[in-house]
Amino acid sequence: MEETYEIKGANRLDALRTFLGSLFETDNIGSILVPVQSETTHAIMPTLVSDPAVLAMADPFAPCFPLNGAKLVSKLTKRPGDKTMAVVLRPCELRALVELVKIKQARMDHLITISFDCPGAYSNKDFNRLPDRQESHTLEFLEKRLESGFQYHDHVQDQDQVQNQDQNQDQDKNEISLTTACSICTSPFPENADICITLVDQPADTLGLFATTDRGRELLMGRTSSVKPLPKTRDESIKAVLAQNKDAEKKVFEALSSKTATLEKLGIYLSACVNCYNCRVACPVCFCRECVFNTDVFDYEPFQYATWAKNKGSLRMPMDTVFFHVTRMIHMGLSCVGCGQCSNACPNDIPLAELFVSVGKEAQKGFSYGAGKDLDEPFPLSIFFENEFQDVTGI
Amino acid sequence: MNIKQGQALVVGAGISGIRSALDLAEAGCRVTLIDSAPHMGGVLGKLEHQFPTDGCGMCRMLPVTDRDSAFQGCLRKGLIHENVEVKLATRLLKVEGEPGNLRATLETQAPIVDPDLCTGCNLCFEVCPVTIADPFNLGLSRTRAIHLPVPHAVPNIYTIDMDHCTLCGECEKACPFDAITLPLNKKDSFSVLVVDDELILRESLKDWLEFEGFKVETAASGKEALERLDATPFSMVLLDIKMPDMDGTEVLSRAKELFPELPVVMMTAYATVETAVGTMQTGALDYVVKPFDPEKIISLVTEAYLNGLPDHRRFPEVEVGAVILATGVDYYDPTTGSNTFGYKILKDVVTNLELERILSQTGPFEGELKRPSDGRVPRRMAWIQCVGSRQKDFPVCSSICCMIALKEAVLVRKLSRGTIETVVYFMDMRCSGKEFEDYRNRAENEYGVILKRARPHSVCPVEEPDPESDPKSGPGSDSDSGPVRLKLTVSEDSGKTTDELFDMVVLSVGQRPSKATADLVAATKLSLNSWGFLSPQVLDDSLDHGNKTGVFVAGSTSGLREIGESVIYSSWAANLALGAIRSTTSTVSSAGPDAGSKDGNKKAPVVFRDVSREIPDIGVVVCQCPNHLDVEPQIAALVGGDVHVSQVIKKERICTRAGWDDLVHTLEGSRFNRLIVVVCNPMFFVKKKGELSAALALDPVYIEFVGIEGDQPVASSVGMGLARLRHLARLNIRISTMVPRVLVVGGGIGGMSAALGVARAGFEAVLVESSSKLGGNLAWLDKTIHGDDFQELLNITRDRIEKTPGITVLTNAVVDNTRGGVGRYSTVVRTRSAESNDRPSNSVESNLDESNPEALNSHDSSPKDKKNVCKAPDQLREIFHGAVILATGGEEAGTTAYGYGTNQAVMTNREVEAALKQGTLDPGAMNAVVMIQCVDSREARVDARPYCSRICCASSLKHALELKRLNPEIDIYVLYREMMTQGFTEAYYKEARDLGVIFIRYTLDGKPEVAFESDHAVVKILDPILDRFLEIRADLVVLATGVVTRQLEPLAQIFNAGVDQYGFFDEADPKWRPVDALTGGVFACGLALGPRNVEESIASAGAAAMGAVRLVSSCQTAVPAVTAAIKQSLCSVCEQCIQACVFGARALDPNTNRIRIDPVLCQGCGACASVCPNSASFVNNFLDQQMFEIIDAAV
Repeated sequence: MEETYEIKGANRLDALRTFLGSLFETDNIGSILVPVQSETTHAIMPTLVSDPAVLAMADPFAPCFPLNGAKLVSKLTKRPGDKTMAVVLRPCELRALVELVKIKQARMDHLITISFDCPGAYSNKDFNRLPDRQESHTLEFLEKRLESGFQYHDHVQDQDQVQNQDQNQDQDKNEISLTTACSICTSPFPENADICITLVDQPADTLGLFATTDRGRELLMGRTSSVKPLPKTRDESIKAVLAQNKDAEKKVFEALSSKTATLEKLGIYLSACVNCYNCRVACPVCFCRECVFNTDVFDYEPFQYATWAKNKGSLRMPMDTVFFHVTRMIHMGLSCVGCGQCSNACPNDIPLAELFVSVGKEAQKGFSYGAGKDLDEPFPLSIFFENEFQDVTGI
Repeated sequence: MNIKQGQALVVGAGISGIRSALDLAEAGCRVTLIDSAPHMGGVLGKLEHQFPTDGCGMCRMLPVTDRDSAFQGCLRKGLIHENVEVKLATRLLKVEGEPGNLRATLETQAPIVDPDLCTGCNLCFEVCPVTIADPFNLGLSRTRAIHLPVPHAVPNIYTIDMDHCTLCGECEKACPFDAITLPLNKKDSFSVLVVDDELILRESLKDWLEFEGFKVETAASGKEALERLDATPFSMVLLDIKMPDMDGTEVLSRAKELFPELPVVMMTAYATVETAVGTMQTGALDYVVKPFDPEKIISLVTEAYLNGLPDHRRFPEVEVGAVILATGVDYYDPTTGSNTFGYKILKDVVTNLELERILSQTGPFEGELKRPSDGRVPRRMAWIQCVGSRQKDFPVCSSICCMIALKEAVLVRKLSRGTIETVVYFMDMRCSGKEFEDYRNRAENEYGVILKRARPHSVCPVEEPDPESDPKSGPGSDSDSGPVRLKLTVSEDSGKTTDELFDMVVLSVGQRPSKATADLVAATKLSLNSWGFLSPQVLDDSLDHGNKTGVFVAGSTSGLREIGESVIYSSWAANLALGAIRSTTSTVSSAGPDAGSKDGNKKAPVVFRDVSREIPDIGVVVCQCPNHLDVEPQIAALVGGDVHVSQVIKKERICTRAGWDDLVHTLEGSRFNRLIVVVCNPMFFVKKKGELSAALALDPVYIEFVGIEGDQPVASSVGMGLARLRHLARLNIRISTMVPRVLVVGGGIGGMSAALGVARAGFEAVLVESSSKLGGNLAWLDKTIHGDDFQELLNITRDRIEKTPGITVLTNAVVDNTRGGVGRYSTVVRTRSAESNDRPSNSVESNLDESNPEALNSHDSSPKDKKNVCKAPDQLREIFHGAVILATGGEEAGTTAYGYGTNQAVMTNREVEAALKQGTLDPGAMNAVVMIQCVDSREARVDARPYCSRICCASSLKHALELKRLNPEIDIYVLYREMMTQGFTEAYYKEARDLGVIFIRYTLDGKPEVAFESDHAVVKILDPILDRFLEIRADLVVLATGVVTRQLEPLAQIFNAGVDQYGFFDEADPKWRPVDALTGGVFACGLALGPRNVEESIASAGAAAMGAVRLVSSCQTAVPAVTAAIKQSLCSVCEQCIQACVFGARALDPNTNRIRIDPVLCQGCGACASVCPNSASFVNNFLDQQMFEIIDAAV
């Protein structure tokens, strides 16, 4: 069992802010990337903080997940630097970051990663509709989530509601659901962060802290916090959450596979797509500098469209919609961390997250690979085994 | 002016000949490659699977740098290279002159089917009334007298088996292109005299030959024969040897006095074969052994008849610098011996080569494994090893049959999904070489191949009903009796014989000297060894023995060897040949051999228009023939709207010479920048593309042949071709100059030979040795098993290194680090302070700057003592070089087994060798010596080596023979698991047994036990034959501990090459690229490569030198059209392409943070393009847009 430290504060957020503030006392840490509520716009966005005073508005626990922070970390660390930075990321953001490091889009050599028991988030639309987005809302949300045993059953009552959030909202305007991606998340607890912050089964005025790396251990040692083991009930509680989410995931996948089993059905599933490529922009592991769908590869000659239309009788425009999504599944499926930002970004509410999560998980299972699980696990397509997939290759 | 400059002749177009020819062609020589067969490929053209991959891979021999110079297709279809001229059905008759200045006379037959006219339309085949046994399938299937010699050759030209052709003329009439010209039928005026005292034989020969149309007369005695010859002239004589009144040999010599040109074939019984062989020297054409196959006689008579026809044979001459013989070996014919296995009598007894044909997709059963007799699938198959090998009268091991049998058994197990039981009966399973033992273990453990150490003595048919098969399900009328099975009678160790039943029996037939060898000896004056094989040039070349003939032996011509070794020996021969060629050409400039020699004797090179940036202006040529009348309108409709197509040209039958010439003439000077030619069979035109390219002054990349045969609609075939063509571009990039210098690391016999090989080809070599002296293992070795002196070899080699210009030697030196890459390495060599140097150090090279290429070049002109030995106080020097050869060698493995190190009575092989050399061992005082083989070898233990070290059995034999020679009374016991005495070493194994050396086999479960009593050892071992434990009191116990590499791994890492699981150099491919690393620029030889003896090390050094020479010769050539490139603006630098590139052609430039591609290393495989998500990485001429358009045209 890892050594656990305890941080006390007026409340959970206060305890977190105290802890983050204390990081600045370390020689090397010059800045912290953490979601902070802007005083002027009130939006909660990842913010690179170098003045400890700003941490007073830090709010990573809010049910607000506007974008996957891994992409921002990529921007900050792509070139080698010497100043250490701490980043507070949800577990799925951290997984995305690990994937980006593997494909050389980010570096971890001067990075302290901090993650926490993720209470989940609302979709951007839902969150932005909330009238009250103050600190008290976050604490209330956390309290409710923790009270319910950190389980999602309040929100995921049955399959229909998962599948049809609009209906759900119509029925109960006051009860906002977590996103589907969060409800079916099977790894909402931090696993490989330098420092993990625990909320589950902790009293309302404390946070647990433990480290999973030497770097993290070094940092935690000598903090002004007391050493205290994790609550004995934590393991049980976590198991229950995971079982619940797995169950939800199974239901969602079953419903999905009946809707997308054939190419034709997949076309219907994606029929609202307008090729805006927002999902690709929002995807944390879509790392191409320029997507192939924006390059001249698909720059057809104008006469070509006419020829196709003539040959087939009609031509749906824009073209290549299913092709685009299938290509993205092929390119990114193995790295899909299940953060759900694709759904979040879709202007036409196409439930992309479950599609990508289900395809991604299958692909990863095929290679016994877990996206973002382990920095040392090589990316499946970069290694070659002669006797792999003999049933597929027929060799 | 000097047209012979850079010319070479390679005799034999099997893989060995192909390898030699490609080596020389890539080094810039014009090569004439001939083969007596009407096709290329030799034996390997018939094989589809090679161990250890169980696949093919011959194409890996194709050039890797100047790839566009050769047809990049399956090599089993044939070799097409711009510097290689192939002449089939051609033999070497005579070589005269000095090395570097030879005149070779060839013999070729007037082609009956004109290869310029034949289009492979198959109409002749359909009308041919004569069916014959298909030679390609070794008689397992039938074909016609006019047939394709190989089903897959390119271009594929029909050939006529004149032994069987009846000259009926049907094919001549059927040929629409007048390609066939049958010789006039004058058989009735070809008179044959049959001389034999037996009436029956005379009469039957008369009948057979008269049936074939010849005129036959007979004589019953020698006297009568001479009278008849005196009376009327005869065209040919068939002559019995043993006759009562006058011996056939006497008749022969008298007849030859009268008619020196008269062809005479001797007929003999088995007993007088030797006499018959002797008659060949007195002028007999050939001999046949009674009882003979009528076919054999008819074929001999027909051949003599055809040779007698005017204009039938032609004798072209070529002037060349060197000749390489790569005619391979023949295989033992089991019917020529006592044939107790019933070969050719029992249909289901086949040779290993025949089984390869049965397993082949183009074989008699299209790849299905069936019995030749009844088409049933066998359930049990047996392999019998050593058929024709390791016999009393031929004590030679054929070296490769063990692996072939294992491979075939594995293939059968795989093919049948384990349902066919496979048993291999063997004497010793000879799996020596680094990967062989592992393959054997996998065959046994993974695939369930059963190995039985026993000697079957006969095969008999058994007609017993098969209890497991339902007789009613059997095919045809035979269904009431069960299938005939084969009873194998096997004698086991205990002397007991047992019978086992099989459905098929495979005979692993061994090697025999090739029939062509005798002709080659006559043509070249080379000599044969005692077993009738040509010797490899190790003695002639390395020991300065024999004559300098300019003729070199490649591949298996000097004895069977597996593919990898054959390839090595062929490259070695090519290296020596190149030396002979270059030795007479003009002096070598510092930039390497002048590039002019490459084009020296070609027509003025065509300058291609640079059209890479022009908008496509496509010409469409449609070939029109009666078979495809509707094609042209379809194409006209298709291209009507295509703005890029400027003209459609309709031509008649461009597959014929006339049609083709017409097309070339029409296109001459046309301004199209792309050309598409629509034909029946694009493969037919592979060789001819260059002519169109010259006519249009257009790079061949821009010319596309599209086939319209098959199910594909014309519109989509042509549409796909057009889509591909629109995007084709040849970027005008050339491979940058390569530094014409090769670094050789390691100064043993391998390194020294490699340096000599590089210098021989006209390039500089820098030889780096970590110790103070050149020599390596040769320093302590005494003699070869054949008795050749290693010290003489060492002295001669050192002397040559001294005398050869262009070789710089650095002793006490090690490689420190390297920068750059293939073609332009910059390596820092650290020379240790040389306090122990016996010579004063030269101060000349004390300054780092002087090691740059110019400075090194300048050494050539400096006095020799300065140039060749550079010893100086501690210094770093930078060496620029284009390639590196790792020759760090190996050493005897250490051991603690059997009490070694605790008692002086236990020595290793190396210690014994040294003691014998120095005379510190006194065999006279010894009563018994025990030799233990495979110490810590061929075992899966952690502290043992899993591989066979290949050389220890021969070493132990050598020591045993030497000890016996020094003291015949000495008792020698060799405790072995498998005697690995391949090839001619087998003869020494036999000699040792004849001399009374006792060989006792042990297994891993019953290893010998060694105890010590005062001054001697007591060895306890179970003798499996006596089935009793023996205790041997030995004065000396010799351990054969095997071979390990030295200092290889860190060095390999420095040069970005790898080592394999055994610590040896990791070659790109053990068969086809056996001396080079996959990542290019790095070669290895000698023990660094794997266990091998001194001769094999020298051969591998020659091959490595040849590889390096090929590489550094390829400077200034165009970058191949299919090469990867990168769009930097799209690249996210995720580096996945670097990991995907197995050739090491990609790297991240840390200064610019961009991916760099080395076009020399890139092989255009496309792995980088497929791993790149947004096509920032792509392969030229395989663009995304192009592929989409091609797919669009196809569907």
